[in-house]
Amino acid sequence: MTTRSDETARAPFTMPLRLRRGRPVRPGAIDWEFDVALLVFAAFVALAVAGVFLQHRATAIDVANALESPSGQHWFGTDSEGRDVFARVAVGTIISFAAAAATVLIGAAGGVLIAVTCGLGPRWLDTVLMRLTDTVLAFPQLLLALAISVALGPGLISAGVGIVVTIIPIFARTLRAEAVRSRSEPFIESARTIGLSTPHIAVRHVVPYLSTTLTVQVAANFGAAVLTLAGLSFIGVGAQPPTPEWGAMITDGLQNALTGQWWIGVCPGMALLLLVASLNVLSDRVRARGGLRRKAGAL
Amino acid sequence: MTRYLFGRLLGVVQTLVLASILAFVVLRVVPGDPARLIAGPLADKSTVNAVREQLGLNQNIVQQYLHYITGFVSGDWGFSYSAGQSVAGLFAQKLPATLELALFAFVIAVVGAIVFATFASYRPSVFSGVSKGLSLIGLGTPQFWLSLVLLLVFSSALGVFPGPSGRLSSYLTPPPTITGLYTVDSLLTGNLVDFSDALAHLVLPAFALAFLPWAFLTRLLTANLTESATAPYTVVVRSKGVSPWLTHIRHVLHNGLLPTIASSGLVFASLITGSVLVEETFDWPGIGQILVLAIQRQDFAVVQAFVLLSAVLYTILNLVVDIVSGGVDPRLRLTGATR
Repeated sequence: MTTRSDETARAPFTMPLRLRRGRPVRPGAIDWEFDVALLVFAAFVALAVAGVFLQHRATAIDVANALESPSGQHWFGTDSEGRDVFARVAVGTIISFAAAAATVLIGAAGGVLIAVTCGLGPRWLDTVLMRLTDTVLAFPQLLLALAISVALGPGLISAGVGIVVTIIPIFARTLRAEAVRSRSEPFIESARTIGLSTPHIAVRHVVPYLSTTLTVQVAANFGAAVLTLAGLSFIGVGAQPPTPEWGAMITDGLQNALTGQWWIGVCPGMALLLLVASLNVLSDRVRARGGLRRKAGAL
Repeated sequence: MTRYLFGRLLGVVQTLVLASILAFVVLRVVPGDPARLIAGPLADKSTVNAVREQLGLNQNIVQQYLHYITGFVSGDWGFSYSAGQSVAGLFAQKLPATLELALFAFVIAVVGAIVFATFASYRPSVFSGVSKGLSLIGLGTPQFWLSLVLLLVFSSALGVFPGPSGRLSSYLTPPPTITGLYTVDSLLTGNLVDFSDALAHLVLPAFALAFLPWAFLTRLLTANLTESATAPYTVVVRSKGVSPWLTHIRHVLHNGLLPTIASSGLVFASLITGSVLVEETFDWPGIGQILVLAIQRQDFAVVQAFVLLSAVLYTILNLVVDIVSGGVDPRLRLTGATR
């Protein structure tokens, strides 16, 4: 007996797969949304690569050229300390990618561990773990991440820990349903019959069985993780000011926005918007694929 | 139904007890001494000890939790040392501002979503592209950044709306408190100057807050409506000779709205977390701003109460939504009970 349906454990603001069918796409028709999203995503990968070479520019203080508007030399202008905003956005891309990848992958690993334990372990453990999962899900995601980050002391790592804690139950919930279902699959029953050990079954048979749902969940949570991190940094509990993190840069830009230097805050936010929107489209497609491959998808 | 209700209720109580333990533990492991923070850096040892005793920090952790939770249930949510008053009093004082903002945002989001989704599903060829594109942007837009852009465009550049100056221009006196919502109160007392000023201050933050839930609801509702537009009952209604538009409004919209209610919890969560992000930008004197200030001043009693309170409301809202959906659609009740 659990208090919430698996439906409410979706990544925030993603839709149930049931509603994703839509109208059939004409064969051979161009999927503009997907193509544009892929292009934008590729641009961000390029930006991240550029960021590797721009690291010194992103932090180099040049007070003489502070608050310069966008020009050929400084594409996105400079901030109040004369740092190049474009370079900072580019380095911010690396931070966003790395942080989102790390939090989502650790969260996914934790979720898989819980799901497999629930699926194959004793019943009481399943109940206990699901009860704990529900507890974490009882908090709005950003607020719990915020509380954890506050408790650990502001910083990129604390914010990451906060995000991981809120992501694990999302994975655990959706994957558990699959893991429990796997128990009655013929190939799992056969594996038991021929005497394979439970850890062996878990690693070699149940985890691969979860992989489709896992991929879908990773894709769906990636954009959300990017946004949550930016939100935490914006409030001041994530990345701290000199770090070129997008959310922290927007906070910084707020101070100059009303005196006319709009580019400091607007540029990183634009990057955030484009990246998350493209990730949303891409993850939609992954979900649609995943749902097709397994008709009785968990989502 | 009774059994289902009872089971759900029991589960919710369990979840809430565990959630309160989680909130308590997370914000009790914070580095630093709360007693020292409250007494101030200049206080001597005996004063700090007195404060510690007063807060019950010399008891063991279980006693402290029981003390905290009995207080929490009876409305004593701790003491905010940075504001110099009780957390409950502080929240009560700031709640109307947040409520007014959230209420307007909610109305904008829901009405906007219904309008956009209705047209997008009625004439997909014309409207669905616009609706789809906008909602895609909406789902990716950080609310705090949108606040900044709205301020830049409509306040700095165009000068249509006031800048980040709270709920009312400083030269005006707030209307007498009746509901606490400035727009309603000023209208009730017939003070049209206050009303227009309060409304002008409200527009931008409300839009910034509404954008994300609007985008989400528009997508969800469009999908629901598109599904019910092709359902057999719609075909029957149409074949009886009801005009396409009437069918759409009376039957498609009607049936498509219901499953959307299930997402109220998410909308609530987006409003409450969004208020934290938006209020800061607009200098809106609500609960969200209090939270940000409390974080900066390490006033953990406020953070703890805020987080736990939002979890309680969120969980209760999800319960109510489940019960309502279960009451309307018996199929949900069944699957809910066996799960």
